[in-house]
Amino acid sequence: MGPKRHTDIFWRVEKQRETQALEGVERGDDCSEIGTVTLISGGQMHQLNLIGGMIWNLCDGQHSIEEISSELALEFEADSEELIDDVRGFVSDLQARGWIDDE
Amino acid sequence: MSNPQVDTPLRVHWFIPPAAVALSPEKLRLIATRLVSGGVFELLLDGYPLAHDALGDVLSILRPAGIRITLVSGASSSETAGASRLDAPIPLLLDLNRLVTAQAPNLSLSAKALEAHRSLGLDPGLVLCLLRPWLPLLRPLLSWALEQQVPLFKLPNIPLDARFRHDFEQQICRASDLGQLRSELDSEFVRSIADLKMQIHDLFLWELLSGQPDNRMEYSGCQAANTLAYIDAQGNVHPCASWPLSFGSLLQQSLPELWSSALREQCRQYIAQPPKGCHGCADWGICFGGCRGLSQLHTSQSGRDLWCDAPR
Repeated sequence: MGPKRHTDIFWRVEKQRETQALEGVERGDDCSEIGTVTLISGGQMHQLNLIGGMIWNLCDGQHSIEEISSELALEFEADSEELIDDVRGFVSDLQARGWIDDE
Repeated sequence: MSNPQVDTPLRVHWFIPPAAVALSPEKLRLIATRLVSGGVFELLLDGYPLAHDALGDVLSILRPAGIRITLVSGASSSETAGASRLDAPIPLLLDLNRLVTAQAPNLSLSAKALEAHRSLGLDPGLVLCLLRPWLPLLRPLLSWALEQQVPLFKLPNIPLDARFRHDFEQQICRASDLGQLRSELDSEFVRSIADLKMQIHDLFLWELLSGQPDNRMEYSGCQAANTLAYIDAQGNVHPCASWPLSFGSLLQQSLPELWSSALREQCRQYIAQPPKGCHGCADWGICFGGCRGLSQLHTSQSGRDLWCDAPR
């Protein structure tokens, strides 16, 4: 069992913007302000950037924090051990917002 | 992210006219299918959807996709019959512009309409396009809605469709009307309706009715042609209900195609630029020019929201 998105939240991937962000990352651009996942919680709209959106996508209850970190490491050619704290921190923030069910 | 950009609109307002002049069932189904594939979150089916035989088909396409649907009804006999045929409750709004004429307010008619729909297991809210003739009715209507414990009182943006085209110049509210409203809706009254759930599109009206103007929810400016879209009776897609500009037809193109068009991009670029009438305003960072669609109707406002009397 891993972190799982709250079922009440409407969300979707912004595919064109995700492609734009991935191409930007490839070029070495700062793409942290490009929203690639849009969600609505409590009547308010929010967006997550590329990395946040990828983590969100993997919060399906099937991936542990370690597995999410490994997936990101693979995508961005980074060391998964170095990513674990960031992923854990981001998931804690999602939990604090009530967007992720408590484990 | 303060000004989210999206691939396709999230909230769509679709006007379905009376059945006699509406698109064919096949075309309505095509639009519904394109809304689903476009990833729309919320859909307001405005006009006369309940009077249309194809509604069941349209809903059977939209509902499995999880789109949050709200229906509007004028509570005519054919619409009430349509409501009775719904196989599951759907949020419903009774159209006060059709139920309460400004010349002869008849709240008993609205009460009957509420009762008729409640007996069908529905819990209708109310929707009112706040045109000038309805201004004197706003206070009694809000009080009445509170008494009736309706789940929602919606004050949407003003659609520029055929319903309101007649005499529109005289009907649309201006800053002077807001001043008048301000004197009628004093803070004591606003406190008295605090338990009434309201959804208010216009920022200036929201300031007046929310009772907490300093506690504005996060707002990043006009969402026309971004998270908002309007589909007219013929299936043409507009930036929002208040903006008379068509990006093309949903019968010819998909939502992602329409949202990728140069015209849509130009529209967003226009919105991003402060209107001439807002230059120097201290509140630009709060309202971002307000309603940019309606503001184009009057050059005297230099692009400012029609409710706004002057830069602050």
